[in-house]
Amino acid sequence: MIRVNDIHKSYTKTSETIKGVSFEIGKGTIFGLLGPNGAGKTTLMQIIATLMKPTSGTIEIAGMSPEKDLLKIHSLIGFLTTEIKLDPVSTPDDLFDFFADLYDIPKNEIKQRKEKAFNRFGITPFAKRKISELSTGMKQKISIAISLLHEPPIIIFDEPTNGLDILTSRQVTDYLKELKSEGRCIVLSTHIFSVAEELCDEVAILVDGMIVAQGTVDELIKMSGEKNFEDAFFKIYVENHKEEK
Amino acid sequence: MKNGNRKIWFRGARTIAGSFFKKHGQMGAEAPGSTFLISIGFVAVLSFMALSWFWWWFPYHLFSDEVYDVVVVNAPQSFIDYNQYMQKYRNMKARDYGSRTNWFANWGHMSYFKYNYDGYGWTKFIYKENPALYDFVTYGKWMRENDAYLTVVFPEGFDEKVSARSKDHELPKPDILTYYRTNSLEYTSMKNDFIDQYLHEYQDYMREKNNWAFPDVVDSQIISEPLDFSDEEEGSNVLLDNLGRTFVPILLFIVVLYASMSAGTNVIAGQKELGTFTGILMTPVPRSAIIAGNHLGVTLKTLIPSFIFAVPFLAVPYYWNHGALGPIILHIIILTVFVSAATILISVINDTVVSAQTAFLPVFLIFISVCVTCIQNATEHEPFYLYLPVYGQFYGIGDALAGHPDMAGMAVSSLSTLLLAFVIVLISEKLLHNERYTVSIDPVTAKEIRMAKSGQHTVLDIADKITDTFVFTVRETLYPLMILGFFQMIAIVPVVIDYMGRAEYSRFIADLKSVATVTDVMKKTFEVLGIFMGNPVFLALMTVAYVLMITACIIRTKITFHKKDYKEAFSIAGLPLSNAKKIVKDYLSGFVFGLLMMSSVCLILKLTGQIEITGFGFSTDLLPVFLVNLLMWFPQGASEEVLFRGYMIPRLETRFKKVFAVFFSSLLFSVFHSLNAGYTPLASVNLLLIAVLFALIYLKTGNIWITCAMHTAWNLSQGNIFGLDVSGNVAHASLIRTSHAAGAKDIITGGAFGPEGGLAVTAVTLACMVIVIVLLVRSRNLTRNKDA
Amino acid sequence: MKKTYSIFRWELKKIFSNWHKTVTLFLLPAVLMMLALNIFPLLINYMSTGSFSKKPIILVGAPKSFHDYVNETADANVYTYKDLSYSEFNKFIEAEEKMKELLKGGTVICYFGSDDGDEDISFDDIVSDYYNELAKGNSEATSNAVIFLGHDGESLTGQLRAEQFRRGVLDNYQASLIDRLGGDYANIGSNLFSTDSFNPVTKFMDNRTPADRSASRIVPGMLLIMMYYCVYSLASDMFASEKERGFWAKLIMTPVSSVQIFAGKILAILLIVSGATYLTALLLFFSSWLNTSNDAMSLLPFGMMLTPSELLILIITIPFTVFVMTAACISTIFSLKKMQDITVNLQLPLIFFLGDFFIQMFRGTRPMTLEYFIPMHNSLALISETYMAQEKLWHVIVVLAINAAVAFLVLRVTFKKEGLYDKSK
Repeated sequence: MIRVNDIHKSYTKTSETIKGVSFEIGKGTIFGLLGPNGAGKTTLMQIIATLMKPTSGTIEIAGMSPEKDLLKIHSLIGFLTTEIKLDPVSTPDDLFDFFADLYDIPKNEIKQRKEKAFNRFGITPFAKRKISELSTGMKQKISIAISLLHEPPIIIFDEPTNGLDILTSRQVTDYLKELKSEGRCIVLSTHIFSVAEELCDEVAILVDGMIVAQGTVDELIKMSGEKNFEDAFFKIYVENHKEEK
Repeated sequence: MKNGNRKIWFRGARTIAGSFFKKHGQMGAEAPGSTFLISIGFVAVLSFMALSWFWWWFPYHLFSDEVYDVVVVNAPQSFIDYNQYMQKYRNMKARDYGSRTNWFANWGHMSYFKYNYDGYGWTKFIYKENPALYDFVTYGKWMRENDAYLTVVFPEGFDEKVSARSKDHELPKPDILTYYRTNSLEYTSMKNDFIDQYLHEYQDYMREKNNWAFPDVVDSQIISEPLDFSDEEEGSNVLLDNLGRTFVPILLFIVVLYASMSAGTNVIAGQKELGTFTGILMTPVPRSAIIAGNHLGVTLKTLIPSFIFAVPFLAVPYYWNHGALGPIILHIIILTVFVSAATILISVINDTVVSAQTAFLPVFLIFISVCVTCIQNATEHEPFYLYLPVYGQFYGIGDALAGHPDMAGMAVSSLSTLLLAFVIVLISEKLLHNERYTVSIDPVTAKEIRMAKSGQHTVLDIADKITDTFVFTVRETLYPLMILGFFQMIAIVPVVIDYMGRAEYSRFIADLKSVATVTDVMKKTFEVLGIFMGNPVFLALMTVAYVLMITACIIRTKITFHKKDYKEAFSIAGLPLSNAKKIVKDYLSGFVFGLLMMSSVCLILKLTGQIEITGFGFSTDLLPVFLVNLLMWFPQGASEEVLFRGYMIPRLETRFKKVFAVFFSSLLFSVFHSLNAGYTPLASVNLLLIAVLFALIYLKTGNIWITCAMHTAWNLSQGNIFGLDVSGNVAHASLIRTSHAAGAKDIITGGAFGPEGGLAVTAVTLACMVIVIVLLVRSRNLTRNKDA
Repeated sequence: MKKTYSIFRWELKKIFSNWHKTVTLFLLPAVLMMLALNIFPLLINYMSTGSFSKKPIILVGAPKSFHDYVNETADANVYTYKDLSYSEFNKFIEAEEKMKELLKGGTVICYFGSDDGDEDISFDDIVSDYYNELAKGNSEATSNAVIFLGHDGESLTGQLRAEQFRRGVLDNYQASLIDRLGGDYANIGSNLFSTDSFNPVTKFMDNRTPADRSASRIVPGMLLIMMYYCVYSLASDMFASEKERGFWAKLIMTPVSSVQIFAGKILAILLIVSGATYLTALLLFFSSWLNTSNDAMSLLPFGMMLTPSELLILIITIPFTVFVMTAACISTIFSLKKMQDITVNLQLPLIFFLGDFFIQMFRGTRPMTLEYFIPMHNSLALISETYMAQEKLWHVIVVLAINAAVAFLVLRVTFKKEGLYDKSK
């Protein structure tokens, strides 16, 4: 569903943040993007989400190029980062309605979907409260509910469980598994290995803007010759990272 | 220990203040192209302004559409003769000056060109006739058509009146009216010049022609005496003085304001937004040191640009010699301390940079208005201002530059400003102990907690409640009056214009001059309204006004009762729309009831011999008035019912008891109608009774469809069927013409106010009220029985 | 189009859900301005002089005819008077310091008497004696009746007030003397006719001239500052802080083209700011009409009036100006990364507008032609000349076209620079 072809991205003239990345993600898979801070994860995620244009290279989503069918692509993608803070004076209800309107959900369906989504995450009792009065986890859950309200086949999650407690985190991972079973394609970036191990069908490790290893978790462990995933990641990182002088 | 605390305090404050200068400064912020372009635009504006001072006449050729001709309406023979007599002089002038449109042919004249009534002899006179002296709409049209700037309107028979007055000076003077065009303010002085010169000379001409003895009378002289006390200043320094009193303080104020705004609004608010503020709170630095440090930082950071801007002025020898340095530095420091304090307070109160900036607007505007009021009388300010905060700094800077520093004023204003700044800083510090302004964005207010905790009310709460109730009552009282007044005003404007264009009313309008006392004003107002009531345009506009009023009421109901849709708002306002059949039934029964009430009033009046019928029907030319009048009564009745019953009673009921709501709204209704002509105390009582009756019917039925219909039927039958006065308003077209019988007693008929002012109505209303009360009590018993 | 409306409605709802914000945006500035312009100076005046009204005209030895005239004439009633007899006046002169101070503050002294300083015979008597002589046929008769109008020669206020009092009251009073005191001579001697003794239309327009002149100096700048402040705070709320919070990314990720998102938000800004500005203009209009004096020295004198076409120009110009301001703010917001830089750069034009406002207060000259081509400032020039009743159709067209064109251009350039996929296709 997602095909990334030799992508480069540079913010300044001298250095490149993404230095030639290519991969392909199929239907019904969860693709994990791992990497240390500053490896270019967020940039890459934003490029995949078509929020940013690559300096060179192409991406293709569901066979469409963002240059041509951007809006069509947008209706296929659900995008979520922890960076997003919702508008503090609105209520979850209003936000849901607003985005449902923007995603062109038929009027009669909005109510149904909202009920379903809000019940799933336990938002319903807070539906009419102001966002500013809610807890961080609740805000994140609302954010997820809103990002997925159009039931997109492709979901791009930047650090989905960041800042959530164990309970909520569990809810989210369960939800992701469910989404996967529905045949959606999920890209997520994380640096929590347990999440990656548990969820991802395929993992790519990003170091200094380049994918240095790609495969299932088991394959990577085998490749590096370490016992667990965390050690494997560490080894791969040390092998590939060059200190800049 | 104490010493240690102090140490921490100072170190904390110093570190925070120092942080303002360590980080990448805001003044050296990145600037995008748009800022660059806007700055260039501003510089261009400055240079154009400077250019326009040296070249002030230059753009005038772009505006040269001034016109010079004059329309003369109803010109008397003498004026026509005078114009002919003057023509040759004017021709001469025109020849001297040259072409009116060729500016460059007259380079010499161009630099001092000024509008003039006929300075160049170009004026042509256009003669017109119009018996309507106040018809300014037509005059405007004529002026536009004829390139004229002025219309001079002579009354009819002007020459005869003038000569009649030469024999008896007690006769009224004939009055000439002038109208001029709106499209240049210069025409005002051109008109005045025309009156003072041309018409004055015309008078001399008439005197000469008629051989009226005429020495130039000089009965008195007016002499303007500019009194000179002050020591003469050197002329060349006046400009510098003025600059020092206006431009320099404004510039310094702006710099201080801007520098403080950009350095200060985002400190605490910005940290709160980023979440770093909690970190600062967690350090052992006391909160007072946090405020002090930030205040110091903002102040110092603001002072740098302020001093930089002050230097070039201080370097001017004229100012330097006045010893302006000390006072100016003092004033700038004091002002900066004050503005920084205000900035810090705003920053503490707000949670985000954006809201802090929005909240800065009032401070900004207050400063602008201080500057504006100060430069309005920069030199002649009251000494009082010197002692006020902010004003003192403005005038202080000006006075210091002009070499008249006022030591006492400087000291007092500095101290008072510092005191104010200190209070503001203190408030900011106190606020930092409140979690609302430190960690939590939207907690329950302290008042709510207190109320919930104790259930008691403090004196403050009670005072709060009283003022709240007072404001509520005043607002709800004024609201209907304002709505009605507004819409009536709108309806009146076109009608007034219409009547001003009618010849037969010229006399009437001119007589308004004699209106001086309040009673006169009232009398004339009703006279005017009486005239308007016969005008179908006015009636139609009032119909629209009443409909708009109902709409406004419904909208307000929707807002004040927080209703989602208009259907609910309608039913709250007593106009439930759900059951069409019931509406029709209620409305018809109300209509019949109203007709019956009025008929019984008339019957009583007829039987007691108070009125007699003088005729039936009316001429066909009154038909449109009659029809529009009929149409008007429907929204008219409905609008008053919505205002005083449907909207007001439930609104008042949200605060007060039902009895009070009914009584208050009825009282208001009565007062509202008592302002009309022919008022008697009995009328107020009657209107109150009627209002209570309607209110009771409303309470009985829960809607106002019936009372709307009753109200309409009452007024309609009264005015247009029985030909009686409606609450002081004269009815113009009615089916039956009636008049008060010879021996009629005003106490029964109500006199000029109409039957509402008389006992007949009292009787009928009381009777109806009894019926309604009986019905009400019975239905209440019924429900009570049912409940039991 | 529907989506634009959704965004527009959302933004409006957000603003109005927070009444604090609504009030700060809509009412507070307008009300404050009105207060500052009227009530504040009035209060200060009260504190310093003990009276809400202006300083009285000091009448010395005013004759009966003058009092009669004041009672009969509405124009003369505008002033407050303080009567002094000759002896009181002499005492007044002796207290020199106090008199100087009064005069410096703009007080005007009006002295009735004879020019030889004879205090025993009243002004009225001198005048009626003169007319008696004339009626008797003594063509050599002269009158030494005189009215001295004293004011501080250095004080502009005093000079203006004296001039105004003379034109508005004394001249007319003098002209009426022959009718009041002329006796038989009035038959032929008095003016043959009067002009505009009752003409509400012309009266309105006479009042309009000083009022609109003042307004043209003050109102446009006020409106521009008001507009920019609102635009700037709304734009930083709707664009800058949404970008900062990441909410912007969420909006962009919806299948709504960014042009529509921008359009919705810009429309919301246009509506809100235009509304707030109209309200301010209305309140400024009221402040003029609440002001009892038509004095050129008062900030917004009584009688401000615009013809319907002028009003239309004002109403149309405001949204266009708001539009170009919005475009400028958006351009600044999207070409910078750091919130602090954005803030500083958004505030800077505010200072320029403040400068422009004060320039407009002082300059007293018509704008140069090229000023109509400087966006934003041209609106100030246009509104100002509209108040001066000097508006020209081509000015209106140029101003509106330039502002709209510049706004579109700026937005276009900003979109291009954004580095986003062109979503408009």
